[in-house]
Amino acid sequence: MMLHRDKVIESFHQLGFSPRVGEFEDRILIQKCVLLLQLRGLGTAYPYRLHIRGPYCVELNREAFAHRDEFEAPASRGALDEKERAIVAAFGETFELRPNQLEVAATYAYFVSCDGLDPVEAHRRTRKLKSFVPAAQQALGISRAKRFLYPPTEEETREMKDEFALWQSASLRSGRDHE
Amino acid sequence: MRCDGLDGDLLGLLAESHGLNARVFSLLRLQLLQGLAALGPDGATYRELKAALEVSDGALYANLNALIAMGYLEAEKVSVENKELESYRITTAGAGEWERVRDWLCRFCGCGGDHDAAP
Repeated sequence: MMLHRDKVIESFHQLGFSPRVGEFEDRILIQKCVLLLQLRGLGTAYPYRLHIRGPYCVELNREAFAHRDEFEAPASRGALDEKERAIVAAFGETFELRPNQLEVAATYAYFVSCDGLDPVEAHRRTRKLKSFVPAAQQALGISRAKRFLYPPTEEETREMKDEFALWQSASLRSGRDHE
Repeated sequence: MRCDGLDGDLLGLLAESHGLNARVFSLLRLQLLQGLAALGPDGATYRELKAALEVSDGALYANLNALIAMGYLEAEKVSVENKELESYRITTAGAGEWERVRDWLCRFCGCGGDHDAAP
């Protein structure tokens, strides 16, 4: 089975991420970046499973060590098409390369996209499995995962606008009263 | 009366159990070996183990140390977001013992579980 290592390496090149494969922290980043990119549609096929650490791909870890030089000095390889380059760009705009944020985002995304859980249950399980991450960082990770992978539809956006319109106009009125 | 028992196999399995390390047969130690065997050389940090297994610090620490003393786990310091953390990974001996225990448990549950017999 082709896992498409070239796509991963070129994505890292585009993100300006040169992981030190020997470092535990950078291996977390490799794992979580690839899962999030893959779920968004990067044409890779790494088989992730839920482990004690959250979603994790043994094969990806093996590849990172087996092709350490390629991972540590990622270069452009012409492996990504235009759509995939846009996915990587969106990833770069959404996330910072910080382990806690990406761990939470990837865990939430795994529960929703791979286990098919509803957002409330996925949120609950993510908070439990990543309980060592401060609450503010948990909220940030989940909100960025939603922005990157599950943006609201036009209809949902319209419904939200309608729902919040009253609050918004009340707030504007209140602001004017205090001027 | 059922005559499809696997007494021969069962006796063989029971004899085989003497080759296993009985000190790994606690729920938490089995969970640790299973969880860390799947992660190979990458291992997991203390805080990840604690969150996933939902156990007290005392129980986790004591059992990790017991498995280290048996030569089945090793600890190392790792850094994540400028925090130094304790990380644990399975050793070759630990992976071997886990394989033997898992294999034995699978066969034991398959042939020793007369759960549908009338009480």
